[in-house]
Amino acid sequence: MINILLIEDCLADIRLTQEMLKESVIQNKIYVVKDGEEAISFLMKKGNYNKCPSPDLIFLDLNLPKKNGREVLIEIKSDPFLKSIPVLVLTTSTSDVDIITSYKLQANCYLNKPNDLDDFNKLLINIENFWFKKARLPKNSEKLA
Amino acid sequence: MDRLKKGANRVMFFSDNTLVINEFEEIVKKRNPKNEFIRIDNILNITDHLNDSSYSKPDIIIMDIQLENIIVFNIVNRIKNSIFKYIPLLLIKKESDENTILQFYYSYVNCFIMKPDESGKIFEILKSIDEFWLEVVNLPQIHTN
Repeated sequence: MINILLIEDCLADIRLTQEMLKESVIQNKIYVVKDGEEAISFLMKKGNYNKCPSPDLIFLDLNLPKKNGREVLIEIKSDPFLKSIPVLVLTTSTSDVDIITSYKLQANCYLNKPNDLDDFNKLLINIENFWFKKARLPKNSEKLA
Repeated sequence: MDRLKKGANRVMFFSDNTLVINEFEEIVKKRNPKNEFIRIDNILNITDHLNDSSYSKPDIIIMDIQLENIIVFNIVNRIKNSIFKYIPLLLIKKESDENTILQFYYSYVNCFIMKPDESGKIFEILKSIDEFWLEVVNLPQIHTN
């Protein structure tokens, strides 16, 4: 079972990601938060999130309300417990500055979110094929305990 | 248009198996003849190679490495604590200890891939790395020459 945290404010993208990953042969569960502050609350298990699991994989949009994706990335990758979680930046931005900055902040992977529905679907299939089936995800300390 | 479709990538690759190196170079060049393939003969000198101003910097580093963990951690830390930390680093290694895999992610390895026991299966892994990382992912391209 792969637990995914989707940090995304676009409802259409959320729905599409959920629908697509529901079809995956690899069992997974998606948790959705729609802004950067909620993302940090989820990861820190604050408030209503106290019983949520630590995700195995994070899909992070860069343009988010309240706290943007770069700020969220900085917090994740500088936290001694969270920094091992692979973060896949999924954004419409193809700016070289965003790409290089994200990698400097230790994003694990940067992916351009296409506008076309079919292309977006293909992207999710590619993510599934590589990150679910070929990559070895870290089992966090919660699971190792 | 996806920026990666516009240009070629520069791949730095290390393996102690010449057959694996040759095969991966062929896969990478077949996808795009303009892709550059940089072979690293001595992995212990990788940061010297990165620092050498006469060479362009790679867009991605892939290491098929079977040395002792302490040596591998040293190499990973040297890269990820340097100005080259933005370069995605993929590790292919025979490692079944979950805690060690977790530690590699803590050290900001971008992706850990388990090296299969069956020798033929490594080519499947290399092909999927090529398909995902060189075709789908946006890599940081800072070409100096």
